[in-house]
Amino acid sequence: MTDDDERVVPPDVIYNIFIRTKPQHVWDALTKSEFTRQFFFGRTVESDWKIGSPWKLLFPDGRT
Amino acid sequence: MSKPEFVYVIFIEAPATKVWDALTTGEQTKLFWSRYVQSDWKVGSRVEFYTNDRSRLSHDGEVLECDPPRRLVMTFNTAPEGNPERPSRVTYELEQRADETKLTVTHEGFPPESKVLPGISEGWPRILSSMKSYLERGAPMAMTARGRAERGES
Repeated sequence: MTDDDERVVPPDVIYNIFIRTKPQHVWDALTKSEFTRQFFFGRTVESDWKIGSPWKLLFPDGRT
Repeated sequence: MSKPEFVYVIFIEAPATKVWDALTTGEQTKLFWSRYVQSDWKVGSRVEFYTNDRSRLSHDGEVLECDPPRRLVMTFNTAPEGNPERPSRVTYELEQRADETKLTVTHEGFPPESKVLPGISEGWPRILSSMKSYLERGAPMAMTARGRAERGES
């Protein structure tokens, strides 16, 4: 179905990691600020995670 | 130069010497890799990867560079498993920061349509995730033993 203008370009980076926990916990860790604050250098995420919604990564001082 | 086909970076909270030992000592690789590695790690020496009970050679290679605990390069030959594909090349690079080590595993030099590349692309994340667990919490991941059971290995 793809023509020359819509060629699928492989992504530049794919990273796989296996984690001993349930998918829901990994999902929460990536999408909820109370978790990201702990491993993402204090940064928090802001989004309602609906398709088309914006998402922001905020520094501890509130900068984006 | 073309890009290497597989590069995996992982940070492990352990000194580089511990990471190096885990990767080069059979008594440790058997725990998180389900392979017993054997070599004297001298340039030109053979590297052998056996099943944990050492009844069967799984793959082997040759040491090309060895600079503990920083850099190790070896060939990777799957002929013992019945795959006659020409050997590829594995590089471990270890870089100690504060309390952690940055480990980069590069696996390259595959022929076109390689059958080994898809296998190692799934294998390295499993091995290195389990090694991180082993080094940080003292036990490999349960999936390592489960994989052995599924393959009928002890």
